[in-house]
Amino acid sequence: MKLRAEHMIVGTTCVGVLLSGCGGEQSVLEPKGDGAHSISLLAQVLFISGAAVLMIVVVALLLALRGPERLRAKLSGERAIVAGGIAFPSIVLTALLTYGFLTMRPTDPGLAPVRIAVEGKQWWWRVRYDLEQLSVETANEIRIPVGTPVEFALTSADVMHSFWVPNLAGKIDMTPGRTTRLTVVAREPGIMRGQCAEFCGGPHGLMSLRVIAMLPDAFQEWMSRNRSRNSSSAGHQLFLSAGCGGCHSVTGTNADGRIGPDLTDVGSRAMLAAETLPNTAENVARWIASGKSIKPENAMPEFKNLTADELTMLATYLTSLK
Amino acid sequence: MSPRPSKPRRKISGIVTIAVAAALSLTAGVMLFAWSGLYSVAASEGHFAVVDKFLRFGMQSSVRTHAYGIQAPDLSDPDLLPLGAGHYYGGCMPCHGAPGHRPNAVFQQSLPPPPGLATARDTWRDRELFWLVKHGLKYTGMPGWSARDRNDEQWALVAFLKRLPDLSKGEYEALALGGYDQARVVSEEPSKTFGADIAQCARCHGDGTTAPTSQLIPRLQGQSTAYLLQALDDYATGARQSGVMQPIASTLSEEQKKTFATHYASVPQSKRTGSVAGLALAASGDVERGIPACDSCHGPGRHETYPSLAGQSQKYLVSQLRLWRDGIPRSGPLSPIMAPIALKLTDADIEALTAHYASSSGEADETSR
Repeated sequence: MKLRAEHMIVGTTCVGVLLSGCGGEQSVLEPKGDGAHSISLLAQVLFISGAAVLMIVVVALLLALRGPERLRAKLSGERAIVAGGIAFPSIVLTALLTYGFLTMRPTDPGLAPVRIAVEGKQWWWRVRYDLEQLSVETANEIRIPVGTPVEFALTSADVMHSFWVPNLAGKIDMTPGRTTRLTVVAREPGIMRGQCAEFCGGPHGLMSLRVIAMLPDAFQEWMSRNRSRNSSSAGHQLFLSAGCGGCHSVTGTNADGRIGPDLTDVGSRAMLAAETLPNTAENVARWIASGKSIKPENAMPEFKNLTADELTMLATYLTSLK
Repeated sequence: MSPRPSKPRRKISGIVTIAVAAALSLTAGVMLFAWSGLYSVAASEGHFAVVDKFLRFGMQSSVRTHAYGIQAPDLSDPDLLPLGAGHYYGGCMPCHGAPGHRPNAVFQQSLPPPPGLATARDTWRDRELFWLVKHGLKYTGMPGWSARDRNDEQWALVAFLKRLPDLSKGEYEALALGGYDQARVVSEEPSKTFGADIAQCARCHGDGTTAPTSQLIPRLQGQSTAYLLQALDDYATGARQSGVMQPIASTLSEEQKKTFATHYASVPQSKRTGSVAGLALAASGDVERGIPACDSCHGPGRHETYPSLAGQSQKYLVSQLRLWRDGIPRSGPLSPIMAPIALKLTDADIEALTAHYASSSGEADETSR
C-alpha cells in the first residue's frame, strides 16, 4: 500500500500542468499587486501547513497500524495524546489564525496619492479620478500607476455589487449608500481583468472591468492629456441630434448626460459594455442598434431609428474618441 | 347491506333513463332541423318577433353586465366633440347616418339594420356606450375598436353621441369636417406640395396654417417628413395604436403619405411668443431617477425621426405621454427609446412637462433639420 515514486511524479506533474492553466489576466495565482501577493502568500502558507499536518497525521496513522511495537505503545500513551492532540493543534492553529488576522487587518497607508471613485451600476462601472485639480471620468477601464498606493472609494448606485480584480487585490463589496475603501499597489505593469463578484441581476455575468497598470510617467501622461473634444464634426452632430447626449457625456461638448458611461475616451477602451464586446466600429454600431440582444436588460435603448449609414458614422466618431 | 336494489332506487334509474333519452332525441332533432336547412338565415327576412325580442333582451343584458364598473371620465370637455365627430364621419356614419346624411342603403340591409343613434343617449348609460364602441357586437355588423389596448379614444365618441341628437347638419359638419365640404375634397387651390385630398388630414389637423379642430388633435406642422411618414406607417400597421388614425392611415397610398408628410413638414413654423423659462426636467433630465433631458431628443437640432413638442397643445401631449407611461403596447422604431423613459414619469412630471412644451415657442425649431 505504499505510494510509488512514479505515482508521486505523475501526480505532481498533473497538478502543475492544471495550475499553470489558471494563470492569466484574471487569476489569484498570478499576483501583480500587494494585496494579491499577501493573499497568495497566505493561501500558500495555509495550504503547505495543512499539507504538513495531513502528512503528520497519515504517518502517525500508518505507524499506529503497522509500526513496531515500541512506537505503537508510545503513540497510545497519554503524553502522545496531550502533545499531538491538544498542544500541537492549539499552537499551530493559533499561529495560523494570528498570521491570517495580521494579513487581513486593514492597512492604512495614509492618504494614497491616487484616489479613484468607482460606482457600480447595473451593469457597468463608473470611474472617476480626482487628483490635483484634474478630474477625469471614464468607465469600465481603470488605469493606475505601478508602485503607487491607489485608493478605490467604492459604492453602488442601485444594488449590491462586488469589486474583484484577483491579480490585484482581494474582493470587496459595493453597497448602495455606503463607501467602502480598498487600497492597492500594483507591482508590475500589465492588464488585469476584474469581475462583479456579487450577483446583481440580469447580465451580472457581463459586468466585468479591466485594470491597466502603467508606469508612473505613462500614467501621468495619460491623466494630463487634453480631453476636450471637438464638437464640430458631423459625427458629433449626429451624436447630439440622435439624443445620445441625454445620457452620455463627451468632455468639451454639449453632450453632458450623467446617466450612462462617460464617452470622452471611449475609443481608447479595449472593450465595450463592461468587457462584453471587443471595441471595433462594427461592434459599436451593433451595440447602438441591437444592444439588448447582446446584453439583455441593459439600460441602453436600441436605436432602430438610425440608418446603417448613420450607425457607421456614429461608430466611426465614437471609436475616434481616444 | 342488501345485494338487491331497493324499489325507490329502481324508480330513480327509470327516470334518469327517460331523461337521457329525451335529451338525446332533442339534440338529434335540433341537429336534424339545422341540417335540413329549413330555417332561413336570410338577412332580408328578418327574425320572428319572438326571436328578435329574445336576442335583444340577451344583448342588452350582456352590455349592461359587461359595462358594469367602468368609470366614465368627465365628458363635458368640448375638445372631445371634434375628435369624436371626426371619427364618426368616416367610421360610423356610413352605417348609422348623421344629421343631414342618410345611412348607406347597402349597409341598411344587414340584420339587424344599424340603428340611427339619435336615441342612443337615452337607451344606454355612458359606460355602456363606451363598451359598445370598444367591443362591438357579435353576430351584427358592429365592429370593435381597432386599437384594442386603448381605453381613452372611445370616450370622445361617447361624448359626441351624447351631443348628436342636438346637432343640425351644419353643426355636425363643422365638427366633423373642420370647414371642408367633404372628407375627400380636392383643394380648390391645390398647393404644389399638398396636392389633392387635403381634407383627409386637414379636416381635423388643420392645413398647417390653421389650428387643429380640437386640442386633443396634434398640430402636424413643424414635424419632419421622416417622423410623419413613420407615424403614418406605425398607425397603419397598428404598431402605434389608434382607432381613429388606423382606419385612415391604412387606406393611404405610399404616394399620399409622402405628399401629406412633405406638406406639413414644409409649412413654416408660426412664431409664437410667451416662451416660459426652461424646465429642469426638459433641459437637464433627472440623473437620480435615470430620466434623460427631454430636449436631448425633442429639442432644437433633434434627429429627423424624433417629434417636435414645442407649441403642441397640452391636452394632446398629456394624452400621448399617459399612453407611453401607462405602457399601452406599442412597437415601431421609437418605442424602445421612449417607453422606458416614460415609465419613470409621475403625473406631476407629465403636468409640468406638457405645460412647458405647450407654452414654449417653436422658434428654436428653425435650427432643426
